[in-house]
Amino acid sequence: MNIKKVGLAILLGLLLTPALWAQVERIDLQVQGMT
Amino acid sequence: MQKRLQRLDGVAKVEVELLTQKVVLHPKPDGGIDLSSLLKATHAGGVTPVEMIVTAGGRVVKDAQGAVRFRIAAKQEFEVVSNDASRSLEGLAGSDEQVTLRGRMFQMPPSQKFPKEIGTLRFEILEVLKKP
Repeated sequence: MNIKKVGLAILLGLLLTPALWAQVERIDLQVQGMT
Repeated sequence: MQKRLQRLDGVAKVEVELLTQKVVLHPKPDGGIDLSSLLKATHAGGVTPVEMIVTAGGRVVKDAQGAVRFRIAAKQEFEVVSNDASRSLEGLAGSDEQVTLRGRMFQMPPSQKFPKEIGTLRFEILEVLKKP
């Protein structure tokens, strides 16, 4: 097992997790003129 | 207009309520929606956006001047309008704590004319839905 590769994978997972969690969940638009 | 919005990058679903003149957009889980483009696309579709409320998860950060900002993703970070809600979150700035906020990001100007340029969008916190 390549320890460096495992460590890099864990590091990337930790770095990416907030980005995956953080996101726009919903957008509500109040508009005029929709028919 | 609904089909135009549905084609925008990052949009999973668009719900339209004619009676209340409301449009609800649900983003794709892995997509980022360009909010300025959304407003422009809505207006280009013949419908005038009056107000845009965004519900999002992210982190509270501070810029070099100490102003509070809301970071939703690497490329989506917004200045936060100062109010009681934003002041209550200042302590989280710089931490990895995640919050879910509901905020106003666009409102029709007093002139009641859709602006030619959207400008920089700011996040006015209306409600803190989730915080550590």
